[in-house]
Amino acid sequence: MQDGAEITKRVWRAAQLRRLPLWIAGALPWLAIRSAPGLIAWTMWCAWDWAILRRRVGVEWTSWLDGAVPEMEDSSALLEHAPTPVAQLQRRRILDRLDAAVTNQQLRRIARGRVKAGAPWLLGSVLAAAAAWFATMPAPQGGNTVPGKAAAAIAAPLASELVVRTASPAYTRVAPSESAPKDLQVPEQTVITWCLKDPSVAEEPIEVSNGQVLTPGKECARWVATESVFWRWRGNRYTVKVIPDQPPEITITAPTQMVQELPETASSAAMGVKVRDDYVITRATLHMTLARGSGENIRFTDREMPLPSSPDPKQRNWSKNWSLSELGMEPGDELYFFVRATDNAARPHTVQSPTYTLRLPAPQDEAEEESAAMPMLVKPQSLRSQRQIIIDTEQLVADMRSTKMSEDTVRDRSQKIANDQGALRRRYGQFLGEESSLFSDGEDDHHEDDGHDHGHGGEEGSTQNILQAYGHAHDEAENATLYDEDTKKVLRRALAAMWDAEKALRAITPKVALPPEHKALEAIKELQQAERIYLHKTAFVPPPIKEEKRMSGDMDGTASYRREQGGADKRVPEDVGLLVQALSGDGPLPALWTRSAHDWVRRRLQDDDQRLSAQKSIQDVADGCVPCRPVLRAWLRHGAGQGQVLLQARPTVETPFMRAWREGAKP
Amino acid sequence: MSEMMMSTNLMLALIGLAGIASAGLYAWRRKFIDAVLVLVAAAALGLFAAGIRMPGDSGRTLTLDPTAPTPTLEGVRAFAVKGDGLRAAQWNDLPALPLQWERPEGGTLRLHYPRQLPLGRSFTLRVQRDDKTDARLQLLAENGQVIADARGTGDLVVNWMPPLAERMVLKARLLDTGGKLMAEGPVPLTVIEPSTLQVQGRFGAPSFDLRTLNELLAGSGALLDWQVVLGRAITRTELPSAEMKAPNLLVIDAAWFERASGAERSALLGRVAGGLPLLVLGANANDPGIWSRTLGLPLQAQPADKKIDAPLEMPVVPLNPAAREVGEWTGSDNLVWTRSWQKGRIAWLGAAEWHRHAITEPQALALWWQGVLDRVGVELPRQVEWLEPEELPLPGQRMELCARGVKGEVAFPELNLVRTWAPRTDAACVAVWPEKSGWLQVKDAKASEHAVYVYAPGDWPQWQAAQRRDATARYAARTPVKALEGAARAFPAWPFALAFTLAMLWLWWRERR
Repeated sequence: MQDGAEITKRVWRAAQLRRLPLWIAGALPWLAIRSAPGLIAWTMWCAWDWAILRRRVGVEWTSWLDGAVPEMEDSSALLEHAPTPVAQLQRRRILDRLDAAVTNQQLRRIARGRVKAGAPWLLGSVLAAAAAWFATMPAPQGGNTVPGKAAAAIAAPLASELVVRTASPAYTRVAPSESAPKDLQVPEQTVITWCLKDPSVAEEPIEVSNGQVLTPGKECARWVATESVFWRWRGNRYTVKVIPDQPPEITITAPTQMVQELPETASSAAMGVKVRDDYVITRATLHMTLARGSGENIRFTDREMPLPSSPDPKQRNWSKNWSLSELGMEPGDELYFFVRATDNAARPHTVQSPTYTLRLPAPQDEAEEESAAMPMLVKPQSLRSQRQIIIDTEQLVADMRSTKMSEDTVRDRSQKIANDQGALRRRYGQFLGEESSLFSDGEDDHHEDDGHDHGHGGEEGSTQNILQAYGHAHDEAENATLYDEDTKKVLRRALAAMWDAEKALRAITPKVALPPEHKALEAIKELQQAERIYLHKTAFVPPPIKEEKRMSGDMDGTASYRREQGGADKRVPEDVGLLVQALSGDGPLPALWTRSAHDWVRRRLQDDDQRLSAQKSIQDVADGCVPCRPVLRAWLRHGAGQGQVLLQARPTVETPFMRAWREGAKP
Repeated sequence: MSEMMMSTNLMLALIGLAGIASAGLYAWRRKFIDAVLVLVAAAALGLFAAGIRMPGDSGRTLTLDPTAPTPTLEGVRAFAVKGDGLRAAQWNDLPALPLQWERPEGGTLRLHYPRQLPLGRSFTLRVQRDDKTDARLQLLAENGQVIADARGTGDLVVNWMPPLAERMVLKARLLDTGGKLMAEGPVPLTVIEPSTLQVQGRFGAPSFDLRTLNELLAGSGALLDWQVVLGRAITRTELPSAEMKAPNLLVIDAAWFERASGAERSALLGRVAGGLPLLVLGANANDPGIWSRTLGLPLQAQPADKKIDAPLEMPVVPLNPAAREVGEWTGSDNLVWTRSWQKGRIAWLGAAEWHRHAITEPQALALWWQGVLDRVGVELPRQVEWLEPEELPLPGQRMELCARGVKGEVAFPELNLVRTWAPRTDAACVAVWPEKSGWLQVKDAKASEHAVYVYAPGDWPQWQAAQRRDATARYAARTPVKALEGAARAFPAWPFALAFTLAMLWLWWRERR
């Protein structure tokens, strides 16, 4: 049986080999037109054909062998099945001869004779593929059957013809790139180069939206990115978005207040600084100025200290707990410090933090002595601003709500704020001629010493005005200063509010104190904005009067003059105005209009997106797009901003009817 | 008419009399059938003579279709229309006939804005709405940027100052609270160059107010001939930057007028009488006598702290007319009193210290001054004024274009059309059928070039609906339905004549028998 099976296999293989070229060749047209459905259909046909062939071979192979090989003696069927002993005998005979009689060549010949090559099928496949190709082909342009292929076909030559290279400044650590044209996002000062792979082709310009035209030829075109633009090459626009280099950012973490008062017993002062930049901080320094002395005799000592760099070049965190001896501070000294940081941009940004102040209060007695001479310079520390008082109060209210504070702490803090408020009130009261206790030190001891009781001011002078009620009228209050009535009114309002606030703070109800505190702040602001309050501070030196000329009625040296009237300020330059007029129609535009439009857009449109849109419309109009003209006009108008009111006459038309009407109306 | 009625009545009475008499005779002869026949004949003759008219209308009612052209109107005695109705131009082509129409409610929008505006004046777009919901109105430039924005319920108003003189088509957009688009459409606007002022100023004393006014006028491109007297022989003079051909405003301060000699004063008033407006700044008036003598202006001392608050806070000058209407003088809210002086006008400005607002609110101050100048009546004569079309011009629809001060011919180059202005009461009009939407150029020999914006048929459907409704309501008001009742159809007369003839024939047949 084994041998019988083997000969079957050999016949079958020969038959398959005979048909294989058809199967492969039939698939080729479908592969050529890249039609997956066609290929699948062909494969299915091949499977069907294979099955048919297999059945045919299974049934017919014996007759094929008998017909082609005489040595088989018409007994090939016995190879498969030999029912009788004689048949088995014959089968064995044939098997013995089989290898010699049936060569592969013979089998191929048999297959050639019995199995058709299937040319009609092949022809059918080719025709069907051709039909499918013509049906799917887009009508006017030939060649492409699949859209994806078309896009790829266009992109491929583009990619191969123009190369965009970007080289960012080294410090940005952005790796240089090289790509086909596409939208890019690059750091400021990046050098962008456009190179043609094949410089021999016709030069096609690259139009940058800011009006520049670059022509990459044998040499690459080069442009330094300073602002966001788009560029156009072969009708396609690509955006280059520029990320500007940010200046460093300085945060002072300690001290937390701009003016920090150290406790008298302090032996150290903490300083903490955080500097951040988007790339690298090249330099960060701490500048300290120590002020010592009083009156005319103040000495300043400057110190500059670099902040050490950290492993991360983008930020420098530094903090130090200075001992006072290190700083060289003695009681009564003030230390001012600020931080200056510079980054590594091409045009380096240097940023300076606000100046912070550390104060070490002087011993009590010392301050007393100095107060008479130079009150403002010596003891400004006792004054906290109204704004600070509000902040303190708000903090206290928030703390009371969120944390469990002991009653003593709350009382202490509230009293402290009340003291500040009182000091400020006395400072302003001074302007109304009140006797000030500000410079006689101690906020609290004042009213104890002089025997007045502010708290019960209402009882004392309920019929008097607020100033007398709450203030401290030791002398003729109103006459003591130079201010006019309005200023005094505001001052009085401020003082009354301050007093209310202080009262509430002393009663340990900081929440109630907030509204009057705000009222006081408002009044103070009003005072600061009023010009007159500062009048006495400015040193106005009038020009010397020539006594001999005064009141003489002599007008020598004065003369009439004639001059030309002032002109209207042109808000919109003439060329832009003309351009806008020309854009209203579809006629030719003025010469060099693109330059004036570009200048105007760059100067007047700050927003990147708006500027790019405006530049795009300039390019569109330059290409001859008439419907784009109103858009460009709108952008130019946008640059001009809102118009201004122009005083003008009202145009009237005198018609015969109007004339007759008016004359008829007259008696 | 009454005579005819009388003769008809007489005839009827005679017929009746004859009929009754004949019937009586027949009845007396006991010929009752003949009597009845005579009565019937008489009645038929009477009715025939009376010409009875039946109540109710004759002819048919035509339902109009706004889109289709009107078919023949023969036999049509009334119109019916559904929805918003027809445009005014379409109604004008139809004879005045009764109209059956029910006005739809709501859903309309009316836009109010000037189609033409001089540069330097504020453009105001007002949208009048039927529904009072909260909404948002945006005015957009051609590039899609919002240039003015307003929100609220009911009518919405946006203001915008155009910076350049040009012709443009802005876009207005009405959004509801959720940002959904409710209406959108074009807002055509032509900004023209302003008519510049040519001002002669004569002042007796310098002041900050004068300087502010000078700067405002100079900044507006006005030509100034400005003289301020500082002392006895000291005068500051400013000369106009170009030749001043025809001054259109004289400004003086009260001090100059009071100090001027009689000759100077009469020369000034002579010029005013010739048709120039004169504005007197009343801040430094001192002598009420002069003013009442020369100009009939009774001045009265004002309380020291009197001031106006709106639109800007300004103190009132020490001497002002006592009341709003004093003699020939008529006052207004912005403290300007005016009177006519032969062909010209004189105005008294009773406010001062406007220079305080020059830095903080220059725009508001300039607007206030423009209000004062408009009140004074500073006018620049022009030859032609184009009137805004009352109805949205649409392609394919008749448009009426009117202008004042034009005559002769007008050309529409895009339509290859030349028309002759047809005079109306105070204007002249032509009718055109624009072909497409967009600007339609108009060329007139006398007037400068002009363009009318023709909207697209789909623009502002709610506004078009409102205009149609208004036009239809006007048409319906022209011919009330009541008129229909009088019009009655004549009852046909032949049956009566037939009855009369038959009755008489029968009678004759009976008589002959």
